[in-house]
Amino acid sequence: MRKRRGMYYVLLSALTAAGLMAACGAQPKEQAKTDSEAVTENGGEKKDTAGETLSEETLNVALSSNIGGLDPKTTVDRYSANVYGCIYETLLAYDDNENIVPGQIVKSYEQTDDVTYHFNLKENIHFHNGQELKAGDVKFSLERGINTSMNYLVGDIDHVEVLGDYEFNIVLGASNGAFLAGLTTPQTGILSEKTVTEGGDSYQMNPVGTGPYRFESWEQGVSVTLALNEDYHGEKPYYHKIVFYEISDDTTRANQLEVNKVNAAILASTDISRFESNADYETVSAQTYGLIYFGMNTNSEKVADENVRKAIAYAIDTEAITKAAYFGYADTATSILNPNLVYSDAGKIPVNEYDPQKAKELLEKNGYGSEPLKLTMVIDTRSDVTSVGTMIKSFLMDAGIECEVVTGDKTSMSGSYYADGTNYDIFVGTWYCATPDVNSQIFTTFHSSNNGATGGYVWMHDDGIDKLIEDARKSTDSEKRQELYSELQEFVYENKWWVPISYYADCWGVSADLDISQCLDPAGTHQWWKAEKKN
Amino acid sequence: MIKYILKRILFLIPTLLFVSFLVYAILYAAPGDPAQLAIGEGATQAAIEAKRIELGLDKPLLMQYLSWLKKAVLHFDFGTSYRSDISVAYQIQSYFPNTLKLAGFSVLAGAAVGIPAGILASVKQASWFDNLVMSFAMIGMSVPAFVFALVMILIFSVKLRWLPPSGFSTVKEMLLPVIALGMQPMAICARMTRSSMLEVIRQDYIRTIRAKGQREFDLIVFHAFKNALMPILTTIGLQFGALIGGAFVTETIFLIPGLGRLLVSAVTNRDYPLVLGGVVCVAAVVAVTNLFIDLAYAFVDPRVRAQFGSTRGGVFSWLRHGKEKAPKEG
Repeated sequence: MRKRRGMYYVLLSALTAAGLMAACGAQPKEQAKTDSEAVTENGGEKKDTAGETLSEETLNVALSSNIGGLDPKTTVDRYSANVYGCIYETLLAYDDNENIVPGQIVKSYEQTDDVTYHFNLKENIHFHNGQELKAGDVKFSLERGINTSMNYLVGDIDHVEVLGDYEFNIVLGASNGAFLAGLTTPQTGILSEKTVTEGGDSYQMNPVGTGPYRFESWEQGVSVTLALNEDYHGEKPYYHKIVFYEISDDTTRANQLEVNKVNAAILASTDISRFESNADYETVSAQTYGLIYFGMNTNSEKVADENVRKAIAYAIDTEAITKAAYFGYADTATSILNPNLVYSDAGKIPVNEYDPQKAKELLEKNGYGSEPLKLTMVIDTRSDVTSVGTMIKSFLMDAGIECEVVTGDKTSMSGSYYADGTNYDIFVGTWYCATPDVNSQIFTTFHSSNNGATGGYVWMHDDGIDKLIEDARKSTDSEKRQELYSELQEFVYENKWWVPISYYADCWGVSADLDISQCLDPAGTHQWWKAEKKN
Repeated sequence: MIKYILKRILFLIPTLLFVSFLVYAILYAAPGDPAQLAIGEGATQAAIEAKRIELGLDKPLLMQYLSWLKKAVLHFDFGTSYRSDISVAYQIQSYFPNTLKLAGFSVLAGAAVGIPAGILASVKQASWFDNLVMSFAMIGMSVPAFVFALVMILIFSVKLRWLPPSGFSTVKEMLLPVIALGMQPMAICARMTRSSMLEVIRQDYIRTIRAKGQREFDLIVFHAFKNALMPILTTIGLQFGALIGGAFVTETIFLIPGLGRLLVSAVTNRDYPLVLGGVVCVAAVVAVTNLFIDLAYAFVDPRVRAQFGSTRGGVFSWLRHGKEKAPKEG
């Protein structure tokens, strides 16, 4: 009898534990929720404070990576920028003709000398918490980014000089022709000095900007919800809310779109056909600034000879690789600069010539007739890099070149190989420019001061190239910059340090009634406030 | 018994110290620069160096570890993420309960189905039911959880639209991930229960109890199963520990904001504070789970209970009467 009682106690404890766990899990924890409604209801219609009718609809977007944070000082990846780009506004923007013009919060700007830019802010622009935007907030937002993740955009700023409540100068340490392009990116969005300072470590749980959407809630690891800023000073977006979901798995993203949990999702190439033939969805191609390329290490003696590099280049069929790897969602690359970028000569430089016979002949001339050329190739485990790398290995084998492939996650490859620079010969990499101006990417990839894991995997050691890059960076004359960047593109093409493979595009799957054509930005920081519903 | 529990809790401290130092040393030795990862690609060397100093990564390994330990022990401050600058404690507090729930419900579901199935399979040994249970158990152990997850999503969410494909807030949302992750514990519990029961029901004392006229149900549940429970409890404890750290793929597929996902991302980004905080939490939970399993042994088996100098009636009697007044066994 006593033993049976004991068993009953065990069962009772187990049931109690299960019940407690269920009770604890019944409601989701929503962190950092803010109050929302500032609208009036009038006969069932909601109107904003200006009396305009608002939609009640929510746009659900699936991002393909985690949202790292909502403070640009610490998080500059483009996925997080998709979110805070709706919250913060920038000083400058691009118009439809790719000209840099004042952003939504700026009345005017001008360059007064080589290193000084004068700005006038619009008056009566308010942050979501009611504070007015002043020049001090701009000074705070830009200067705090120096020597942080934002450094590639604001690192050349010497100081920001506040001249009045709405007037300021940005003074650079040295002339930089690419500087203004950086001020168009969401990463240089303007924050409220008071709110950030008072918020401290928990600022990101309640970020505040002047943008068309304000922060509502963040369920860590799941989604960020933004609500319409009814007091927005510009043209109000259509959607009342935007929810950004963090869905890194390709299949899960496609499933979420298919069950209508989200309206828009980037699709992997293998999922595109599921939606192409479905009338409830559309597939939209989004141009990027990206490039996948094959690179050769200048430190390697095996590829030091120009003829060997040419032989390797002849062995690679970039057109076939592009078709096979991207299912039609990429163009065969020519120049190292994506054609969507300013200063690209993609239209002038020819596609890499594929001629395996010439490859074999050149290799034989260089003593690799009986004894094959053996190379170490580094590829990381991202799916497109692995896919392209595998195909390149196969092409090289056909030309009599043996490849030992070393692979691992990008972090490990950077630490073990790219940082060292002496233990690999060739590699496959991707390149993504954050702004339409190529300076930051060119500087980190080809300037000798950045050789290693920061981006210079080719380990370029050429004083002439260094000077060319520095001159192009300093110059504010766009014709001169074009000339210098054309020279660089030609140099790389002739010397075959890079063999560009594909300019890849993203494919978005969207609900048939959603129009995102105005949102898409080749930098990957899409402007979701421009999303519209089709009639 | 209380002394034993306190000893085990105290033993947790050197365990956690050892685990945290080992993890820190492994991360330190692993290729990849946390400062460069924190600041992003495209940063200049000067900016990376400044970040390295800001994060304290320019100091030797031992100094870095001791600095982290001091803040963790004295202020319960696990630091902030290198990548996002968000408090580690806040992130773990947001993510860990979901993993605990997922692992807990999966193991409970696995035990709730696997144990009765194993008992019946042992009683009906070599019957069609026994073969069926063992076949399902083989499938459950061989097929990875993510395969179950994707197939169930395809059928129940995409095609039939009966259940949501993601989330973990409502009972409906929890069904698919718990079943997917619970398949393996279910299979292991069924096999372990069957095997353990077969050993016990062949014993002479079971035959004696049957001969004395005990009902078959009471014999199986209150005599045979009770004696077969020890290895099953061990299995359940081990399964729970494994799922706490190993549910990453299921969390990714079902969009559950769990510790597995957080840790994988933290390791990839060499986010030392986040990895350390997460690993210490997992180690603590696994250690406490093992403690509960050991206590459960004492509850179930009087021989184990006797090792703690127990009184008649077990722990509850001891608590009721006090150490001096509690009647002794004999």
